Amino acid sequence: MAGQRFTQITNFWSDVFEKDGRQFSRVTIESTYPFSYQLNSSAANVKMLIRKALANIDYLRTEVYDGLINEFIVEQTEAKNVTAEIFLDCETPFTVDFSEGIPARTFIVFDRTRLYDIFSPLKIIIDPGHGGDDKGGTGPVDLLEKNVTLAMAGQTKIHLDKYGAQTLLTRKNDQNIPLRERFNLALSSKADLFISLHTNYDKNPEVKGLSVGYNPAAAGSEKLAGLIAKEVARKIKCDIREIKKDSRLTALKKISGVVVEPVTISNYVEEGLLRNPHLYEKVAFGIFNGIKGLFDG
Amino acid sequence: MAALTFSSIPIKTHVVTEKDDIVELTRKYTEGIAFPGDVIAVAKSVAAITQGRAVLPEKIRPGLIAKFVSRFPAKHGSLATPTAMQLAIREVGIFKILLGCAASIFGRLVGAKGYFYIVAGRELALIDDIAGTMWPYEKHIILGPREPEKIVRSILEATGVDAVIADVNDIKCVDILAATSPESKRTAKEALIDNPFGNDDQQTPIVVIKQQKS
Repeated sequence: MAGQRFTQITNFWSDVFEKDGRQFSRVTIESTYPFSYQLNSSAANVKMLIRKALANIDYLRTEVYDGLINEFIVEQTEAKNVTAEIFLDCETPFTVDFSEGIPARTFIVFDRTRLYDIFSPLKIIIDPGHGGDDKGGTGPVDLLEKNVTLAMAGQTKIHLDKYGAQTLLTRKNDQNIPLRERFNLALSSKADLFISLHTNYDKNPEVKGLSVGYNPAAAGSEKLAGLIAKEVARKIKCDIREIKKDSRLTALKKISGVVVEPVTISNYVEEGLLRNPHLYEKVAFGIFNGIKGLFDG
Repeated sequence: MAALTFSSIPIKTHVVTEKDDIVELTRKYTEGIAFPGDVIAVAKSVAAITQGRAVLPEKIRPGLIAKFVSRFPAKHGSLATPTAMQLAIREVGIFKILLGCAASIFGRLVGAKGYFYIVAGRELALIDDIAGTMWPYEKHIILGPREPEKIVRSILEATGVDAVIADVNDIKCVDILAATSPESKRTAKEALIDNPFGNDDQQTPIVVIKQQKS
């Protein structure tokens, strides 16, 4: 593919897609015409020089953090050249593909196989907090914590399952499971991790932000809590309110366990955020990234 | 006779603020891409943001009436919070809001929906509550744009290309607030059905629609 016409770069984004049961990261560059390019790749960096092109924005850095692609930058480097530079977590095989049409699309596709190596040995218990007659916190308008935790847990399971993790939910529907039973599931199944999902609730409606509690009896729990807090906060663009010991989790003994409260349901702005289903996907991605950070090399 | 099909070119922009001029912004980003015969579609929320109509809820103090009246709309709607209702009162006045509430009650009695907005003002249906707009405005309430007809006329003058202001969502609902011609309105309604503006983190508030014969 070597289109020689002058092209305008109109849009670019990143996503993760599945093909033949395997997962791939993709950066898509849209342009008015196909373009010619020169590729340079080093350890964890892919640079595409696009010739005879104008970018619609002089410089734009896009955060991705999908577990493989960290970010990419599109920049008008010379009067008629554009550079798209992709920063990866590690050296990764990739291919370049095209589709003609309006707009023309160029795809840089990265293989996510190494993430299977990280997740497939793991047994993870995902615990949607509350349930049944235990509603948990109630938002100022009407959302119930027990419902949003179930939705977040479902998304987290979907995300982890894609990479071969062995996941178990402590509840799949609206039922109240005693805490002891939830912990026992982790102990009896010899789980590696216990991830409990909640939202914070506070009588003060001004309180907001993300909190992660961890099992102080298990090595690695505090690190996992810090990683998940950082990654979820980055995904949903909120403040980390606290990372704290949660003594209830000591019942898990040596199993690394965390209680993740991405937002505060009693804050009406954050209750509003919970109405957007994309938030659940982002929380799931943040948890995925946090776990990856703990077990990755 | 050849059928018409449409291609949509979503255009990524910088993060738009109230310092931007919507007409100049549209002209700059569509230059060399949109030509006469095309249609430029501008997202409703972005037109409103350039008019300073993105409001942080923390800056609004709901009054007693807003707190009371906000209990009645459907909970999934945009006026279910006291803050959004206070903004609605600011938009159309308390009298229209109360009349709208009375109409809504009447509507429920006769089994009809939408009376609140018919009486209180259709512009209130354009309010996007929290999480209704792309980052970094997801924690804002976005009011509807003022004078959308004037905006599309100005875009036409600046670019020579027909323009619409559109409110599009992921459930294949396209609402054209203003259009420079009936044809551009029809084109946009059809071409935007799959929401080429994207959602969430994609910053593509302008879409150029090109018609092709097939």
